[in-house]
Amino acid sequence: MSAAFMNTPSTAPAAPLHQPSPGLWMLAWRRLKHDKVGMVSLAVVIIFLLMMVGSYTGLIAKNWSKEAGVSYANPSFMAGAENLEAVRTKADPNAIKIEPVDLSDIDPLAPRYKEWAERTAKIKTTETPRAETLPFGGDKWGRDVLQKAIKGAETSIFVGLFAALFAVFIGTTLGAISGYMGGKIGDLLEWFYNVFTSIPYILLILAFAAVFASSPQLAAYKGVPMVVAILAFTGWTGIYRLIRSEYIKHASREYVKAAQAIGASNSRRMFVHILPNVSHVCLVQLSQHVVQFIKAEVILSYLGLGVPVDSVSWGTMLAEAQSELVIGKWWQLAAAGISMAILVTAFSMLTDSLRDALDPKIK
Amino acid sequence: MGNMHRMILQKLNIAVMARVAIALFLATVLAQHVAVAAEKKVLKIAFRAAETGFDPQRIEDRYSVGICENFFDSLLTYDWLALPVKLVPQIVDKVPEGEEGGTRFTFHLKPGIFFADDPAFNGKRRELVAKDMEYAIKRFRDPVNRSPYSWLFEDKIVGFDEFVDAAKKNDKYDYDKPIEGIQVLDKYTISFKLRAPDYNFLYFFAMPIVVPVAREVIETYAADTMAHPVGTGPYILKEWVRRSKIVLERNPGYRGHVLNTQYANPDDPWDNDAVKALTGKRLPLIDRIEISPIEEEQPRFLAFMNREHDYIEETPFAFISQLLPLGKLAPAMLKRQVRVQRTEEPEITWDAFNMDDPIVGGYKPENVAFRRALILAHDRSQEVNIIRRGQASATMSPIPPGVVGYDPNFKAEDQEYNLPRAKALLDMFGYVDKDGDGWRDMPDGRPIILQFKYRANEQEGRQIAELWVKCMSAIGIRMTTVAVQFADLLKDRKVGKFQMSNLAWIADYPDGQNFLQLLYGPNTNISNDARFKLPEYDRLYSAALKLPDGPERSKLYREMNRLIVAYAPWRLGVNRTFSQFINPWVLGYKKHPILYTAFKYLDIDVPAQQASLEQ
Repeated sequence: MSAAFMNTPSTAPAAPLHQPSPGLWMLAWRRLKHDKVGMVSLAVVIIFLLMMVGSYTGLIAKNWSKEAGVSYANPSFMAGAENLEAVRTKADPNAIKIEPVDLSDIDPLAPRYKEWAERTAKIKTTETPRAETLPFGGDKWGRDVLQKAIKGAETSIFVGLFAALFAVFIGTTLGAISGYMGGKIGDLLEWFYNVFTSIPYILLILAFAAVFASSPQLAAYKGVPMVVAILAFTGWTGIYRLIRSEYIKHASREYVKAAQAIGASNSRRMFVHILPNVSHVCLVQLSQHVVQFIKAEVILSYLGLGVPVDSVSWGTMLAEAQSELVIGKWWQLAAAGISMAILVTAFSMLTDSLRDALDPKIK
Repeated sequence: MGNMHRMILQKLNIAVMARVAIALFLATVLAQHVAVAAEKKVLKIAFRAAETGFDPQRIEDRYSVGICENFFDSLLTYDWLALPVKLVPQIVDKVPEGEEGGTRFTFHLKPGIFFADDPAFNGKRRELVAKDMEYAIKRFRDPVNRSPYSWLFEDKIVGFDEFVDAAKKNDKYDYDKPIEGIQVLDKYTISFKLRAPDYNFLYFFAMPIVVPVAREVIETYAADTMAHPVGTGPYILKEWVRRSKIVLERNPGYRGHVLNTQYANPDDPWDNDAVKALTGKRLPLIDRIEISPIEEEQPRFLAFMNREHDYIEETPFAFISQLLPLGKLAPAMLKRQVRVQRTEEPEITWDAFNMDDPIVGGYKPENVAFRRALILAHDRSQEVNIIRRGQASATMSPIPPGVVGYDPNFKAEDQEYNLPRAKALLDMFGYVDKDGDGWRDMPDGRPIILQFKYRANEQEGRQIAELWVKCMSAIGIRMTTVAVQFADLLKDRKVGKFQMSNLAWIADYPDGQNFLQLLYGPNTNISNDARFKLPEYDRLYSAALKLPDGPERSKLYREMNRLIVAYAPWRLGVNRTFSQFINPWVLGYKKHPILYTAFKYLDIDVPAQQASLEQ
């Protein structure tokens, strides 16, 4: 794609220079480098991405699900504070000793009681004592919320990134076809688009979730892949509209006509000639949708449609935190909320800067 | 005045403004409250869910049914103080004995009981007669009413099913046509003939929905019977703003009742308080009751904290550690002289295995061993302590405390968390990792992936699922979870479209049979969601049905409990304990295990109530 790019600046209106020179991407990069906010945001985003890769490969937050502390363990910096929730879990019920009921006359397992007892005696269990405090506090099961937030970032960013990639792919492909071809195909796709946008967003998400849940073939992809698919299938519409308008604009430009004159096929014109010239739109849309989908994942998980119970995302953390705040356990909300706020803000800022850098006319 | 206001407001910052606004608001509310309370005893409380209406034969939710306790009189009721609960007559002369081997029950209504005045009676006083009870029973199966409790009278009374079939065929539900098994012998006597002995039949007549209603009233208000409850009870519906306000006022024509102290427990301070406050008084004493359904937990809690409500029942677990840290009243509550009453509800929760499922189902030793191992690996103490925040206790048998047949000495070791035993059992029956993926497989090599269905949109359901997944992975068993909407979950469970799922049941009537029927084979597709079909169990169940309460029947119940523990169609869950916080001016308060409201047996110390509000 980049090779095609180097050829096009002379004809592409978006590329302003005529001298043999750095391409659009290089220029954009130069402009971005001068944008302090953009660079800081980029750094933050890269750190989060590295964190995601690190946690995916097991370099960090590997033991996030380990219940190292007591229930709602205090953060280390609040070591002395009273933790009523944990006192209860330690309390030994002073129950009266009752003889367990004898089942041996009716139990289908009765013939093997002896063997069972022998095998049981051989199995050793070690119980590690639970810590009173954890670096940034514990959740209800006594897991470290900091590690949980890192693991949650993995899920949330993964979902945001891949859902955005898919949505951009769908939106761009359909937008290109509709905008370039026009006519009957264009009308058909417009209808399709209208149907999608006429349904309220949350309702559409719920409808997709219901379809996924009820189909046995798709049920195998439950969990994170399903969330990605739902978000991608519902979120492509805005991208479609933008790309379509770009293609309508570009389809009649001279460089496209020139390509037609030398015998370039329709698909070549669409994806080799025009696409690079609208790719900045795609890129900006991509980063915008990453932000949007990270937030949507939070909503989905909050509604119980998101990630499965044995994994963690910022959405599930926030959903849990809702009831914890009342009893004064603020750390899970803080961990998830702050990390999400930082990433989303950085991503939004980066998007702004990217748009400025890629499309200087807007500035 | 206006100018001065503006000047003040300009000078004050927002926080102070807010405080002033609240103070003004409170002052207004207070003034109103005091004005009303000076004349009348007014009780204000919240319900934790919205009501649906007050046509007794059309409702099923606890809250509407609870309100109906005050409008209508059931033939029998529970003694207010007796524990375990005891059936006593309410508007009949005595609790009937089962005749003809427990298939015939005859009630004699007390004469001189009148319905509350209503325009439907054309200005005449309307006496309660046996025909009103017959009419109400017939209403349960009138398709027009779509009664959620029609099953009470299905396959029960001689001739009733045939009556309903005929009505379906003729497309006319004829209330004037007699039913063989419901005989109105004279003005005040009604007799029921059952198809088979059922000693729990009497309990139906203590349910606040199995109550006589006047046909004139139902027909006059046919379009909206939900809003026109006219009964013989102590209260009438004064005002009803659907889902937001229910106001009851004392029925001026009510005959009055007294507190029976015969069964009071002299060691129970609550009983003593009730006896002290109510003995010798003609009840009811409260003139007006204002109920606000508040579904959100926090506002309901705050309304009590701000003294807007006189007591709070079934306090949300999330706030327990604030009001009752470590089981003792918080200092702030002590200062307000608030009292707490904790009650274990007659209900249980459990996780059902689908007995028809190829992985978790089955009755062979290896199937039984598999389920038993899953149960032994499930750390229930975390459910009690973390999910239910310590406000529950692990249940040992399907019959909860407070229900006839509950056996406090029944302890099921095979329902206790014990990881080594679980692992040993799985190893012993060949549930080991066969394909080297780190997860256990079936003895025949099939992989095991369990699926747990839980209720979406609810943190508690998700946490229960989370705990299962955690515990299963500790013994090397893979489990996935599916969240489904509540209505779908109910449907799926009815038809057996699940592998494992969490359920709960609250007593319709205080007999263990109401719980044991949940595993009765023929109840599959009705209430036996686990689809448990064990001939021995079914035999015991049918035998128990034919016996009155007594040691003989208790023995059968114990046998059934043992079979449940041995074959393990359920992972027994918890009995929840709810806390009621009561302001000091509410006198005689007691939470009954079965009856939902206490208005009939309450008093208010009006000066103390007003003094507190003025603080």
